[in-house]
Amino acid sequence: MVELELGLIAIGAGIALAGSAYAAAIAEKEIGTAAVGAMAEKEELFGKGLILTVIPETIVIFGLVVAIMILGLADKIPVTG
Amino acid sequence: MIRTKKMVKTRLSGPKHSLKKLINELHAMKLIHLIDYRGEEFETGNSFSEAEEISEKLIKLRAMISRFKLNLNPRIIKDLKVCEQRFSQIFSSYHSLTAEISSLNERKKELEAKKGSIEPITSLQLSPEYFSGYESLTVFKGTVKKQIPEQKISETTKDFELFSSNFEGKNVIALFVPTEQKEKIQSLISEYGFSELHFEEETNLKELDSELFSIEKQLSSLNSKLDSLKEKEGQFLIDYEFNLEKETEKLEAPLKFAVTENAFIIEGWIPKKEAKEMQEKLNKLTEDKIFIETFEEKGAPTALENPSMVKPFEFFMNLYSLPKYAEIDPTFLVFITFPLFFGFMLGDVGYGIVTLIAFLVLRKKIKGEAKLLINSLIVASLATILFGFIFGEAFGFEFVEHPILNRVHDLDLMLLISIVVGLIHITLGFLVGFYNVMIQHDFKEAVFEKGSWLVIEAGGLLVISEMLLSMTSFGNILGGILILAGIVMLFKGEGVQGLVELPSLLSNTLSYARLFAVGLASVQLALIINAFATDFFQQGGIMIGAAVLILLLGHFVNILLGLLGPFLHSLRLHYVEFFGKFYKGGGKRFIPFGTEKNNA
Repeated sequence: MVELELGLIAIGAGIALAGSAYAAAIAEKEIGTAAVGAMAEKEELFGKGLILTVIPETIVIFGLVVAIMILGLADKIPVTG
Repeated sequence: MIRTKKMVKTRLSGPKHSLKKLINELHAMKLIHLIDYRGEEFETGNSFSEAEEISEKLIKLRAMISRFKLNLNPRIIKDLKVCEQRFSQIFSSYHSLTAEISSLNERKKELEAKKGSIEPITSLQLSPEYFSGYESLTVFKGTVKKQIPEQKISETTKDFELFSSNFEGKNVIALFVPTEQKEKIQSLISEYGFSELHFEEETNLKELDSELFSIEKQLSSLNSKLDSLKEKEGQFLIDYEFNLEKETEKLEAPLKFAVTENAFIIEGWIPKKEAKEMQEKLNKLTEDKIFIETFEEKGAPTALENPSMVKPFEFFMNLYSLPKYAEIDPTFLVFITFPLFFGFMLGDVGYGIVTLIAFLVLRKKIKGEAKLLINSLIVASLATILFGFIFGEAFGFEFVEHPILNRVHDLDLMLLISIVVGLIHITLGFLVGFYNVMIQHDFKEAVFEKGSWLVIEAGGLLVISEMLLSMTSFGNILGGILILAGIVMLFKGEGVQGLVELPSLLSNTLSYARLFAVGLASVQLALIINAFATDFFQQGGIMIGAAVLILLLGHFVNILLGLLGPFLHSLRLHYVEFFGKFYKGGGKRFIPFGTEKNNA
């Protein structure tokens, strides 16, 4: 049953990406709110605010790398019948 | 280019009577960044006596400009003296017009209020004289929220007369009752939400209307006079305000200077290149009456100096934070890598051409800071087209059978390229940081603070390549030694803080995986749009129209996303990963005396 194994691999990759994306979203939400608040007080903080807001984005990239590595497992499944 | 403009501090001192001439000249030269005097030994100067008169004029001017809602570009006026007469004429006619308008408006409001109270009563069809002149009768005239049933009133008194009507959805009543029942009736009708209408009996609705009409006519003629004044003199007002403002800048300049009874001292920064020329010019102007010193000092303001190709990328420095005076100005490095990253992510000939055309059109319409951004995006669009050819893609279609790189299928290779680019970029960041520390402190500190990172990086690379390729037996050991040595150096250079940041080396490098990830998302979306449209095309007939619509809309949205994503991600790679390695920022902007504040 190659199909089932492939499906599980796909689901695993999906979970890796979805989980990390969700985590990044939560983190960015908090930082973004604070950054906008700070910007309302002082507009020059836009650059700094932007940087702080996008820092958690790296989490998604990690998720993506893990997902690609999981997808790489698909090559290792022996083709049976 | 790599360094900010060289500045020297200058100190001008001389007798007070030559101050005005000197200020005029400095203002015209637009070279000196004045420093406010904050010392205790001397007093700061006072603004010249004309300043007050001019600021009075400015208040009047601004009142007119805001009433006229003028939005024009100011022009330079050579001779301000000539304008005075014209200005005072304009202001006096403006003043009399607006005064008349406001008094008419007041009268209009008064009349309208009267009309508002008399109109409902006239709907009762009773003559005004019925409402007054009684001895034993009281009249309640006004509006009620609910109709008052007659039997309720008859519970209190049988002698009454109630007239009611409806005026614009309101219930209007006039109730005549004997005066001795006044209080009881009053409390009864107040339950029904009675509110009294006051008016003078002799007011005549017709007269009111005719007066209102004539006021309306006068108002419109006055307003058209005001409009023609605006048409005729608007540009002059804008010009005059602009020039007077510059004048105040000059007149108030002494507030920044140190003065004694007969002398002044001016301090400021000037570009080193122009220092000599300025000195000669000022000496000539004041017949050597002033004393000029120039010397180097810390804390100079920052003026970026880049060739016109690179200049648009100063936008990213303005957005982040200007470099300190002694720091390296990374604009040139951003100029090289930003478009490359952007192009690598978007990488599509079709999208590149569309955005290029869009930005070229936009460039003509936009002014100021945003123009820098557009210009930098034009360079980025060109890079997008270049990478489009490398990937062999146009609007998601692969127009080359075997492109140099196929980013949909060569995922592993793309990931590898991204990481390698990241390593190079980060290393470049450390090298710049090394140089930065070296010129600000010394070589030894640079080695410990930034060199340590390079050593760790080299060690890490050795270990990884040994694990992947296992070429030599000692690679692991050598790599380990290098990493350890690097960590010790880092601890010496930056302390515990440096050690805490160690893992960031790995996360920063991996972060460059976004270079291919963002592009992959963009190209997959384009592929989906194309596949969808192809399905519709094959059905033929009206569906071809739908297919075209899907193509247009889909690619439009994807281009918008494709601009936003690569822009932000490329920016982030510079701000976080790259600048984090060397950049301090927080420089003061060099604003020479005489340049308009909004242009600086």
